[in-house]
Amino acid sequence: MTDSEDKKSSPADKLNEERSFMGKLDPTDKIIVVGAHTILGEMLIHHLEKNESIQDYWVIDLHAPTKTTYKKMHFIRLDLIAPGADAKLADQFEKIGATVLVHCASKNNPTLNWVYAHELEVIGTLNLTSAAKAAKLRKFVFCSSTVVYGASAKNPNYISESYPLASRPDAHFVKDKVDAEKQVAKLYEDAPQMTVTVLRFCLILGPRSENYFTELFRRNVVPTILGYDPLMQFIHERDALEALKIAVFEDHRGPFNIVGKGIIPLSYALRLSGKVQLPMLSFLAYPTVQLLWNLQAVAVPGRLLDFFKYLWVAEGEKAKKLMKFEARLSSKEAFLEFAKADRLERYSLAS
Amino acid sequence: MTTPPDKPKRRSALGSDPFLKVVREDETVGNAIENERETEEIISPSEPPPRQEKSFENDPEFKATKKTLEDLGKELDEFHRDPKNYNRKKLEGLVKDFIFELKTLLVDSGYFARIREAMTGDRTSWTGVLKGLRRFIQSDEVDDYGLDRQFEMAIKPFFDFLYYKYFRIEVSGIQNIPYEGRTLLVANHSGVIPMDAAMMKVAIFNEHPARRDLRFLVDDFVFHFPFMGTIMNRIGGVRACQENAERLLNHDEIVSVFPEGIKGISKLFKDRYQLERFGRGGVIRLAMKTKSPITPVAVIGAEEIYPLIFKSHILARPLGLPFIPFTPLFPFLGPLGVIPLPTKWKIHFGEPIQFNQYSSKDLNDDILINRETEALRQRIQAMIKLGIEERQSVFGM
Repeated sequence: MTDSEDKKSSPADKLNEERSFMGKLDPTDKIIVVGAHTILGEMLIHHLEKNESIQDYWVIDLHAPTKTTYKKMHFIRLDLIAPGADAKLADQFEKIGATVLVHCASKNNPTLNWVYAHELEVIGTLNLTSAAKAAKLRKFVFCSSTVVYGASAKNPNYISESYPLASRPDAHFVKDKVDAEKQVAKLYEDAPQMTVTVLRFCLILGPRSENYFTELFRRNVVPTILGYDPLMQFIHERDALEALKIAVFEDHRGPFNIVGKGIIPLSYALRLSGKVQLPMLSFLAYPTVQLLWNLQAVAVPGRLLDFFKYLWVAEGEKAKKLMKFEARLSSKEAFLEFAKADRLERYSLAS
Repeated sequence: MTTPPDKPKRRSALGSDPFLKVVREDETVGNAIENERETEEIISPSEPPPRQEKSFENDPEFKATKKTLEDLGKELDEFHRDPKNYNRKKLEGLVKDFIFELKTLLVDSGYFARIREAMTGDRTSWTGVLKGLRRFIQSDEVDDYGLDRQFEMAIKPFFDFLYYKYFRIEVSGIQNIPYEGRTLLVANHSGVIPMDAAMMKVAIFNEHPARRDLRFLVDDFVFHFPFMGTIMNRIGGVRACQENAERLLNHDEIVSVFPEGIKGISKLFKDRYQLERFGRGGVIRLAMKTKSPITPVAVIGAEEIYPLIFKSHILARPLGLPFIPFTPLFPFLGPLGVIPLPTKWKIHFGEPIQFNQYSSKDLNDDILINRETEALRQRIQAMIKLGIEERQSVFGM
């Protein structure tokens, strides 16, 4: 991208350009969003509330979203991992006559309580897929992440959708996401009439995003691994919402990588945002960070350090070709937007 | 070619230029010299060619170095003849002499200052040098594959030194590399620390009129180590796998591959210039799939920079390396043993082989692919054989 192009439109202007949708959603379609407290779920609900072509929508979660009053929303309190949840879910789907299910209920952060995380990610997804199968839904949209490919020295520079998922990940966080994807992949065979869309988002950055990465990068001193400078890929949260909207309103089958344009080296991103780097020796970093993680002093377990060391950049060509989705902001711009919002937040907190 | 006595003899950056070759064949010698000046002006690249130093050949220090080099060459030849009964003491002394003289030569010629200047933009202060080292742990803007232009330009004087002064590389057949479009370069792999990829990159950048960038595929194990993987990536290397190579070729880049792989760089000295098996036909499959022509490349001289007399796989396992090399100099002289021998190199780019006639169903024809792979291997082997027959001596003095 040249400078002249940059001057023409600021990131904010770029984000306001919206693409028109090919096929309009059938007015009889009834949308269910699972997971109202994840960033994607929250943004989608906001959009559905604003969208005039939608009369009603349903939200399933443990707690109702309370940030604003949602007039069109019907809230259903259901625990995805309670025994018999799949039957209850199927009953609800049939009662509503639901046709579209958007599954965003997955963890953004690794957690020490990995048993609960496993239940939520894998068993929760299993319950949802079996309920969707029983209720014969028309469409199932699953929000996954590119961490399922795993970070390794053996990855190609750009990972396409057909690349095998991480086979033996030793971090629970990655393992659960891979298992959840496998549950959803079974739907391709078990329910061939259902449109199953899997969106694999790279790291979502933006003013509101909260994940293990943002937690680390909101600090002033950021630990890095000496001698390793991986290429990173970010997507702005509003670009991520755009992709999710396309998946909900149009029919696209199969997995898609949803990524920002271009890449940025980790060290360059840190330097741009004025953070201080603390390079650590690789073999010392893993046990140290694992110890700090066990004490809950950092947001990342030692095993996830691979993601700050090796490549895990995904290829966005398929989404561009089939979904006609192209991120409006590059990885660099997305990171700068995040850094800007972070700085503003500090300033307002200080004053 | 005769040179006028007042004009110092120079190794021009365009010395082996395709245009000059044509002129030399057709015209008389006198005209050729005039034409050389003209052509140099016409196709002078956007960036100036490397600064020419004061004439090296008449320099007394260079003469001393040359003398030591000649002695070194003789000693090494003796070593080749009978490695078992060879007395290493004399060789070690000569190498130490050589390194001392080389150091004087380099500092006097201002190469270190130039490298420092390129790294830091500062010739005088050593704090500037420390700031320059930042580049090794931090990157600037990179392209889609992680190539960092600023870093590349910063370390280029060092590679230019290796290219022009140390290995004195002669390039032929550069006209076989197209001005645009995809090309797959297939070369023999050698040297325990393989410098052939980097030298091919410098050769194409310095000698080709279009100043194209070469992307090279790097073996997996490099990316496990700190600094090495990142630095390789910043100067245009990507991990060697089918996905990367396909993507690069589909984006019309020049990609170099060394199908011998680790087997190539771990060749013992007695097996030098004997090509190993060419993988499992991945190169031919790649060329057929992406419809890119293959340019065979012979690198002569690179296989003698580290005369490998023994290699240990057992010692290497805990370090994660493929093997630990033993050369006459390496473990015994410590870090000095890492310095490669100053052989004279020749890089010959052969005529491209087209793979347009094959369709996608030929990709499954293993017999055909194996036959094509073997033909390619034979072709490069023949090019190497010719190159070795042509050269006068290993050190080219």
